[in-house]
Amino acid sequence: MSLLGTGRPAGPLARVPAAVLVVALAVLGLTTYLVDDVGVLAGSALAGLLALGLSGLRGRAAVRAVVGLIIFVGVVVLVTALTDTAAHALAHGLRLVAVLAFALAVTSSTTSTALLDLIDRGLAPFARFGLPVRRIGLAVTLTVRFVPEIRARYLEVREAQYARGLHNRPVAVLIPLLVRTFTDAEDIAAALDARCWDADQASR
Amino acid sequence: MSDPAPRAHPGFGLRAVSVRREQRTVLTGIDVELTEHRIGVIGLNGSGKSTLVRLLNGLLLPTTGTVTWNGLDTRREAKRVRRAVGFVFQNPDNQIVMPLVGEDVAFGVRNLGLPRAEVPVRVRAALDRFGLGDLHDREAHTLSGGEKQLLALAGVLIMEPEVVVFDEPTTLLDLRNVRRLGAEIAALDQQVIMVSHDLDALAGFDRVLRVEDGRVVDDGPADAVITGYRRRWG
Repeated sequence: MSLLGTGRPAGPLARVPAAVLVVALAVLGLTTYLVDDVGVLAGSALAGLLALGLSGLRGRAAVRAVVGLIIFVGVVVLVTALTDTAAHALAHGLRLVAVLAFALAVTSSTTSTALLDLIDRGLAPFARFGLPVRRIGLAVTLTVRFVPEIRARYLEVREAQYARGLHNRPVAVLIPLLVRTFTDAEDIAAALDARCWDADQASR
Repeated sequence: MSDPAPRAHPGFGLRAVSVRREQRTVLTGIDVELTEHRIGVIGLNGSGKSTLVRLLNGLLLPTTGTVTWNGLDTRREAKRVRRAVGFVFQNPDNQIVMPLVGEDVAFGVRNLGLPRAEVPVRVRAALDRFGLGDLHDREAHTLSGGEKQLLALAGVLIMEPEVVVFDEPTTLLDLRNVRRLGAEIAALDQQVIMVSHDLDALAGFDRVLRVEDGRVVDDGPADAVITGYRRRWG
């Protein structure tokens, strides 16, 4: 599954190594925030959108991603225009389009295994300073894996509380959800141990 | 023609084992050797069955006493024991840790340091064995309950354990998947130790232990122990 949870990455960008995509994202992000020229920023925004087009993101997932992008950027541009100058609003808007579109492209083109490997390799030099490299990588992967599960559990708990007449009671849903999630976390930790996961194992 | 001799395995030794958790005695006075090919564990909810089997691969350590597998003490050699003793949990959702089916099956062998080039080959073989080959790139959370449990089993067997411990593997499954998983378990060459409330599934086992209030209260051939259990609580 891609990091965006949209199935196995299928676009042309999926053939690019994850490390290259992440570095490109970092360079793009840094560049857009160091540059004020609207022409350059517009070019960056177009590059981000092109990358998104090459990511293979299609259908409902693409619509959700693009609509979210438009709403978020729109709000920022509007607020900036009201509190600052129109030129600044435009520049901020173009920066956000560039970075967010490219970030979406990267997350929909990268598998969780590739990201885990990248984190392991990228952070490996810092392990000697005590950074828990493998744990960080696994934490990211588990987040991707269990977000849909936690959402499903939230819906189950909410349904159960509705059946008891507890509507519009966030606490009545949140507490059982948290308890269940923490209980399951113990089993997940046991499963990791059972499958010989070793936090101290050297990165390959 | 005489029946073939029952298979025996290096097996487990539990000596004077007790487990206390949060000031409560969960298991006490456990002294057993587990060498038979197929061993079942039965008992009421809260009797200590799951605690007992979690001792076997060092997921849990005894408060007192020792647990060994093939002479390896789970306290000192937990990693070596876990490489040899696979564990399938009741809820496969908690055992599947990677987002994609193929990634999850690969997780265990990657932890064992298998050369990268070999991983995809082993993964494909493991998935094909359980008829999951077409699901390699599917998101794990979209699988049915039966598929998830088979995926969990595939993820364990790819590590080539010598023993597989099952903790109520069919509790969340429908009848069809109970039978399917049961057939897969019956076909395993590894020693199998299984906690189950499905007494019919244990009928052909070599030995069954009944746990009650943290003690092994009955231990013997499957028919006799199960009959005694039914008589006690049926």
